[in-house]
Amino acid sequence: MSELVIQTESLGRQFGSTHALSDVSLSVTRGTVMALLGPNGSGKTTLLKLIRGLIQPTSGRAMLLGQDGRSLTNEVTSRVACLFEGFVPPRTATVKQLLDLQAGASPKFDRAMAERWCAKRELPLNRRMWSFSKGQQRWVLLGLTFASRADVLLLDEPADGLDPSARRELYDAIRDHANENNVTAVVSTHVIGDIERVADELLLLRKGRIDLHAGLEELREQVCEVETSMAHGARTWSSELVVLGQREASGSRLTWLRAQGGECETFVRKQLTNGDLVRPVNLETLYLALTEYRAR
Amino acid sequence: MTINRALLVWQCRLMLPVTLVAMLVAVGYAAFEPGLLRWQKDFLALLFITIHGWWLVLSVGRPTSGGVAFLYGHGFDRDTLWKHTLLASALAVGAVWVPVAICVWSPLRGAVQSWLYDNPEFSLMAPLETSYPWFLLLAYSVWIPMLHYAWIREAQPFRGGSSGRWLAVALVVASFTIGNAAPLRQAPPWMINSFVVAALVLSGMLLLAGRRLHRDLEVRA
Repeated sequence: MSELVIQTESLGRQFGSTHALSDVSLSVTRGTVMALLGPNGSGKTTLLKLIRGLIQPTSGRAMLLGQDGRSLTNEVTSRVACLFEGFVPPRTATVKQLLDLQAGASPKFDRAMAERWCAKRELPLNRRMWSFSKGQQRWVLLGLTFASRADVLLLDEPADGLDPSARRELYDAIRDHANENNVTAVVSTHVIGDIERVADELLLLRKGRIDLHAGLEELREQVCEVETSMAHGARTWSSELVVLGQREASGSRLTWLRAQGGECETFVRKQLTNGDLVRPVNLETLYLALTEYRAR
Repeated sequence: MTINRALLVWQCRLMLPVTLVAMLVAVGYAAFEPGLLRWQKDFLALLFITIHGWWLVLSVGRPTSGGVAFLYGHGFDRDTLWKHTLLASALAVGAVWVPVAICVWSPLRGAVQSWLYDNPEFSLMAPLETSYPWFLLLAYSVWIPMLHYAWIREAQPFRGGSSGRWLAVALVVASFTIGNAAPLRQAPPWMINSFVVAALVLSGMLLLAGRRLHRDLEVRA
């Protein structure tokens, strides 16, 4: 059985009267790359901070590498690397100073790798952070994160400030890093197309609650999109199929269905009428189906 | 206690600007102040320590700042961060206090006063001002834990956030009042010793409470 790296039990956090996160129970095993998705304010950053022990839960608990998030020891914190918006080094710090700090924080820090990473992106070690663009600063921090050789990566919007090719490069790096070192990564993002290439699991948060938690492969098999003519009126589907969302556009109706215990397309094909089309869905479409066009 | 050199150097670097400014101001005051340096009624010294301590703690101990939050997300546990923050604060205070103490205890201050101002008291200064650097150190030993405690209290998750702030304000007011109290100008040694002991006890309590609460501190940059 795979080692549990992250585990939360009925985890919740309230800010005043606002429930930022409620009743979140999940498990993430070693080597998994989890995409953490959700609309703004759905609790993604709160969840990551609770797991890392940067804020305290109001209910439940979060375990990271076997320790309670509220009392993580150096043994665990040195094996975790995170990237949060707003957690920025002083603008006067040089790249070399940042490498020195990371070397002191992470016992397995690979300095040569960090220097190669910076050299490849033309980020001189003696330059100060203020002299870099936002994207370059992000590359420096990502270099530190990967070179720390941490067992767990908690990345909050890591592609923020990166151009499309750099984003692609980043997600390739996450994938390679996870594969080569059996690293567990939880990555929150709004850029769904990129994360789809690297994620094993999807966690969708909505209003602070888990809306969907499933393996990506499993979802690709279980979810499909059906295009039916509006002229046929509303369709009813057999009990094996759950309607996730619906959208009407230019005379046709798009319906996203999830099959209970089987391949979606197989179930759907049995119920199609003339002119109906069935297609697999990508993660971006699924996300929209579950948020924007969600079935009431 | 294991010292993480990289972390300590990083934190000291954060306090370098305030330390350099404070060192210049403090040594300038210690060398050029023509009046006798006595702990009673020295408003300027108390004001200086208040501002210096506040700025210093702001540089390294405010968990709502991005630079401090950056450290909390970088592989160090809470106790390690707390120990190094205090150690770095002590070194930064030392960098200001040691030159001042040298200036007061050595013939330097007397020489400056004699040469620059023809101050007739210059020969009396060294023996009469011996305790002054200790007063400064005692004030720092209460102020720094107090200000760290105030920020830590402010960043507690659920309650009592502002109590540290009010405690700090109360301490500042009390210190200025006690420093200005007429009877203390000729206070007997036992009374002064009692104040010293009370200050050290308060400092110790703040350090212990700060260490405990620091474990629950929330990083909300």
